[in-house]
Amino acid sequence: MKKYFRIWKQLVVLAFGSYISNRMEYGSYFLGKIVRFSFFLLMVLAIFGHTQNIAGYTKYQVIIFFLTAFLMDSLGQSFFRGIYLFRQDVQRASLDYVIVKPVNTLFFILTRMTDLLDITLLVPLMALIIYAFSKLGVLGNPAAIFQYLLFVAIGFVVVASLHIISAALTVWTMESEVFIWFYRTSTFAALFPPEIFSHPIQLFFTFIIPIVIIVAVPAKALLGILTFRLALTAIIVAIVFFTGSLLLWKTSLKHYSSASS
Amino acid sequence: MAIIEIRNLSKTYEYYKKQLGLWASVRGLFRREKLYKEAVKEINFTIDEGELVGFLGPNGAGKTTTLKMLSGILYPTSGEAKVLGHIPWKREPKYQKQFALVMGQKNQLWWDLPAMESFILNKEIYEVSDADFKKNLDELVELLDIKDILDVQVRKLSLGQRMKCELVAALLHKPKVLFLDEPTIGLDVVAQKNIRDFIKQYNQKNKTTIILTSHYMEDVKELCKRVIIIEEGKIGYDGDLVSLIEKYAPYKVLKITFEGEGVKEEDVSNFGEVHQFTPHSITLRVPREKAKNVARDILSSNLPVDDILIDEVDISDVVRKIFSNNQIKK
Amino acid sequence: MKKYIATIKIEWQRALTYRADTLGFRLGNFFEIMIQIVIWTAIFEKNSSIGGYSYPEMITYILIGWLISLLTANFGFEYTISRQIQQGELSNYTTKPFDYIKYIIALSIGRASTALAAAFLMNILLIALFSRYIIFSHSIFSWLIIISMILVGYFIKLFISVLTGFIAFWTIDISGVFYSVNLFSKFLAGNYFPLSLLPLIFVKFSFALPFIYTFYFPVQLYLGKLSITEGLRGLGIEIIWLGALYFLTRSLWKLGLKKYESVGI
Repeated sequence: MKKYFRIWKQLVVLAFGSYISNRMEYGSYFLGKIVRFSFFLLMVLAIFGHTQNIAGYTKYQVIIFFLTAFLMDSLGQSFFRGIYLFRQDVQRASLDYVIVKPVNTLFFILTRMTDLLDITLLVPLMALIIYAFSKLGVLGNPAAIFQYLLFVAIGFVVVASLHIISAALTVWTMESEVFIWFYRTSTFAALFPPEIFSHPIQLFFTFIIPIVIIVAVPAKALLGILTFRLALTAIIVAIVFFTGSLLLWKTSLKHYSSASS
Repeated sequence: MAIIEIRNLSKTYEYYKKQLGLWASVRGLFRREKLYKEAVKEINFTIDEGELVGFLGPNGAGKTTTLKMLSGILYPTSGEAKVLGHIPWKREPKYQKQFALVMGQKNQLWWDLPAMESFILNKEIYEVSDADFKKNLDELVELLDIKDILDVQVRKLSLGQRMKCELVAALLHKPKVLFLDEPTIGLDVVAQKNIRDFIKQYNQKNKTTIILTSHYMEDVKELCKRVIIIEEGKIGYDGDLVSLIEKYAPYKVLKITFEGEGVKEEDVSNFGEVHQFTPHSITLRVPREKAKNVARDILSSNLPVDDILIDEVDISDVVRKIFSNNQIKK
Repeated sequence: MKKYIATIKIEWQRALTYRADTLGFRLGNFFEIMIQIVIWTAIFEKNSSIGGYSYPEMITYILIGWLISLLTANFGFEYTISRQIQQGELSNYTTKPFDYIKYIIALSIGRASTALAAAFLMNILLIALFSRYIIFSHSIFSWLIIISMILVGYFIKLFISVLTGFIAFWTIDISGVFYSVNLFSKFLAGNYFPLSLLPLIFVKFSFALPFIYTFYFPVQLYLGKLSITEGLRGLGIEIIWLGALYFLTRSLWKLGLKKYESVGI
């Protein structure tokens, strides 16, 4: 275990070094992220300039959904950025180098590039979230905050699973871009409360691309409207996705070792 | 003691046939033909500790595939292999800590950071103690003379320097077995020599078992006492390099160009076997021992020699000859 | 001319080989559009008008807008350009009797046309699905202007992509910039939501740039929120942008080529 921490630590050092030497590259991404966040926030605020509620939710309630979506997105990006670079690595056969080493291949490629800039984004995000908390009056409600954090953690497990699935698809077909694009596009849907979607669509976003679990569940937990049923669903989905993703990974790695040339 | 044992190892790939032309591509949307390629066909060999074996053959012969199987990257289709008593494709960490793989032109080093940072990463992965790390690193840096480039970004290094660093990264954990896949490919002559010298020294000093694949005759001549020739997935020759050369390449090639009016075929035919002839450039085949003398004779004759080159027979010629003679020598 | 057609043909073949890719991107797009429709439907449930748009107008905005946007898209051409520069493939084209600018136009047409065919089909499907809500414009003049804008818009986007790709002549770190430029242009074009929702300065800022002509502007025309005269004026400005971008592309190409050759990639 300690070994893996040390490896992770060194990978972060390497990531930091990479960031410094590719300042412009990462700087531009960072800027892009801020632009994206700002524009979408503007949109939400603009919409609320014309209406009082969306699907029964008030302004700050919607904002909690919005901020939680960005939080989960940032968390995923911060820690699993390596997946987005993974495709090139496979093409360059660097995957072979990872396989021959006495380190868990999946761990290595997931953590290969910790996105330090995204981690710094977490700070203002948290600040905004706390601000929204205060506007909603939940700051004095430790139970709600605890539930929020708990389900953020569970949502994080699902986020990890999605990234593992993407890694598996990359190894298998070299084409995981599509999957990632689905996921990233879905994050647009996750900005809003799930009730705006029809029931079948909500099911899709709960069980197939589970952004509901990732974003809506923690938000609802905070607002005190999380049903027991949904909470249980969240836990089950997290477990199923996580184990499923690991299985998919194992299979795709096997396929790679049988077929690569 | 046998370090590497391979028995009836085979590897077959499946792939889809590529379609040519626009209409064929459209058809390819609906129906594709599956083809098989037998990359390695039931090969056998055993390698003992400390041996430096050359694995030769033309491109696509199965060299890299075999190495990948021995490294545990690929599963074989059939057959067995054992390295240091382990089955490679089980990928046991215990085994992985005892071998290393280096592939020419493929980097494991972090591109935009100094090599040192990647070394430290490997240190953590292979669980090398601080003391061992320092010792091994110093030894390797000394042997390869790369003290000054350790803190230069890898992408700024020349190919030769990069290769040296790759070797260091691979050897930091003092592996007992080393697989080198075309380590000198793409390097200039000086860099090639440096790498070769290093491999030789390292092997002698540490008794590391090394398999080296290459299609450069020079690599082989310098380093390997024993060679295994593999073509189209089968082993064509496994034995002494000296015997191989003597038996299958008993001659050298003299390429001579002439200026002025050139020469006539009769003028040169008694120097050696004329392989190719034009009035201004010829290729002669001359028995090895005689090559120097023949060259000297030609130069001191009154033929209008412009340039002369004494070269080795191309390794693929040797391999081809082996297969046409259909001999498998022990 | 023939060699440029051959270029287009080769790209078609490539597209067929990477068909999973194409399908995937189409699905992804479909998804993107559907989500927008769903979100706005929910927002309009309690409101009959947002930012001056009625529900049918909003649906039309999304579908027609995306149709126009896809018809003018070149699907990441900046990556093709930058790759050619960085991998040294450029040398292939500067040594052959090709006009590089003409060549990349042909290349992009070949590359885009297959994606375009798929995108067009998908969009028509969507429009058929939502035909109940969509407003169908009967103004021939609007159509004519819009079609012209699409044509010009394609080349504007192309040149912007090429110019973005050209930064590879001067730096190694590019994808971050691509990401930001793409994002920025999409927002300013109105891909994600009608610009009229934003405060006035943002709208004015957008109008100073060429991006709106590939989404927001033509849709506004379509919906009748802009008059024909305003439409023609917009087309005029768009054409001026095209000229400027073309000129800029040629100039930067010369500069970049000098740098490229001096480094001797």
